[in-house]
Amino acid sequence: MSGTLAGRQRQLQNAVMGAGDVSWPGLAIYHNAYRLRAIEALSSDYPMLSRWLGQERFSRLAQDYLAAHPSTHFSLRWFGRHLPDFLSRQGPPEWAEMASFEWALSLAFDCADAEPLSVGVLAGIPPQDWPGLKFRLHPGLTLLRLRYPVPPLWKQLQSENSPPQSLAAGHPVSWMIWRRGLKTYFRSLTDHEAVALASLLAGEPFAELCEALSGLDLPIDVVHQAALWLRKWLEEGVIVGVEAGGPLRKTP
Amino acid sequence: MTGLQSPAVLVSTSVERPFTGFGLGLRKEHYDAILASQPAVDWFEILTENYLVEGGKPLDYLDRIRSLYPMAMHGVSLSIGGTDPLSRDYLRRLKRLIARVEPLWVSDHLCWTGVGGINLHDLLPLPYTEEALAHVVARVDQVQEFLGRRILLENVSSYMSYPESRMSEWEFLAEVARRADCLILLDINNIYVSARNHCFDPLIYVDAIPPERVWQFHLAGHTDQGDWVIDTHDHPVRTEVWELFRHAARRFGKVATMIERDDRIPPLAELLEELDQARHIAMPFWSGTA
Repeated sequence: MSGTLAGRQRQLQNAVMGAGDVSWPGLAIYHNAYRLRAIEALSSDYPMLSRWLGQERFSRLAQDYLAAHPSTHFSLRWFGRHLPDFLSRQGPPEWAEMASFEWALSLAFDCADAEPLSVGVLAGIPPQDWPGLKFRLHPGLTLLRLRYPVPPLWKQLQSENSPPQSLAAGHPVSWMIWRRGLKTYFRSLTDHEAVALASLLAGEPFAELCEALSGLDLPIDVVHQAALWLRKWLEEGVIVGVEAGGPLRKTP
Repeated sequence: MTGLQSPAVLVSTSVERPFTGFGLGLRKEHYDAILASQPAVDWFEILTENYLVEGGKPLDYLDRIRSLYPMAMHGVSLSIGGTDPLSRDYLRRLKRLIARVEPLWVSDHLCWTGVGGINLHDLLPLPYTEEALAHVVARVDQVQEFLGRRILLENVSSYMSYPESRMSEWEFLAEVARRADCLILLDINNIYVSARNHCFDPLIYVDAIPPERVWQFHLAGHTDQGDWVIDTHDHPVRTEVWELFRHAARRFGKVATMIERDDRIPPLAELLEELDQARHIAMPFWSGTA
């Protein structure tokens, strides 16, 4: 590639991004469109953060973000992926948490499809296989630990337009976000259940999950409690595979 | 790069273009209405990038609507005129989606979208030089070989031009198509928009395009700001563009025609009426022709 065309494109790109001379007739149209597209893309990925902050503050945030993280992906779908990190470094922590929550929702929305295992699958597993059992979770599952009551605010924002201006931090709460079929769900977990789910997310076998729980102050037997949670996650469609050395039969 | 073994549309230029009637751009706002009412649209054009995802609703709706209608694929990220290497990741994903959709054809734009790894997500015009021409032709070759099929390239609307350009946009487009043996998606609105912005006669543009290369027309609305006309896709097709379409319909003969709307998206019924208007204008020229 000779340098003329490449050099011209670098020069124009700088101008479109606002770092060069935009006095060239018409370039301002590309420059404005570049900024507006970023705001639009971010507000479609983070609709409730955008509503919460209001148009002006959100637009300013989008411009700062665009300057720090211009898109490098072929799809605008991924332009906003760094916003939670960006905010956790330089934004109010509650904004960062809202962004993390909404990004998790967006990941669940169009992640790969996976068929949940039926609840009956546990009954068919021979006892000697249990310690080595590894569970595969839905690819859209995210486990978040949030200090602010962001998910309830998210719900509230969906129905009203006058959000509270500030949130109070409290004891951190774990939340899981996932998709079943085409529908996206979220709910809170107790700290103990979150420890168990985190163990599965890390790819640890059942024995290690029980090990992680054994140091905690559980009201019932560790294995019994773990089995109850597994059943619940199966019912929720969170578990999509189980292996014990080799793959197991799926019992109806 | 390796090609597909049995390309669907890798044919010589002598093969007559298929006429698939009148289509609409598929937009998520209309998914449920389309499935519920199965409107009289001959085909849909999808925005490729919207379906380059792993799963969930986008692909679920895509498959269900595809089972009812033919589809064309229309991309915005190929950056055929860009000076970064073509993205192999993008091309592989594009090829996978092509296998899933089995589209009528695959199109993108005669433009560049960014350089140095950055994507501006805009369709920037090229300088109309011999250098750019050779560059684009070589890249179209690569893409067509990898996909195992010819692609359609669309003329973009533009708001700037390059002092180094040595030919007109229409000469450049026609020459790219001839040298690379690719096809053309002629956007009638973009011709009008660029004609106003750069003060040329849109009829000269239309008349300079080789008819056998044109497999699809785009129609859309724009915003007239006086100094500049902007390709906003947020209005119905304007009278001046309908007039230019009438001229193109007469000149090119039967060409698959569709309407794009990307902003302020109205109910489906409204777009169906607009599509009827396209039929009403074109069919007097096209009925009776083989």
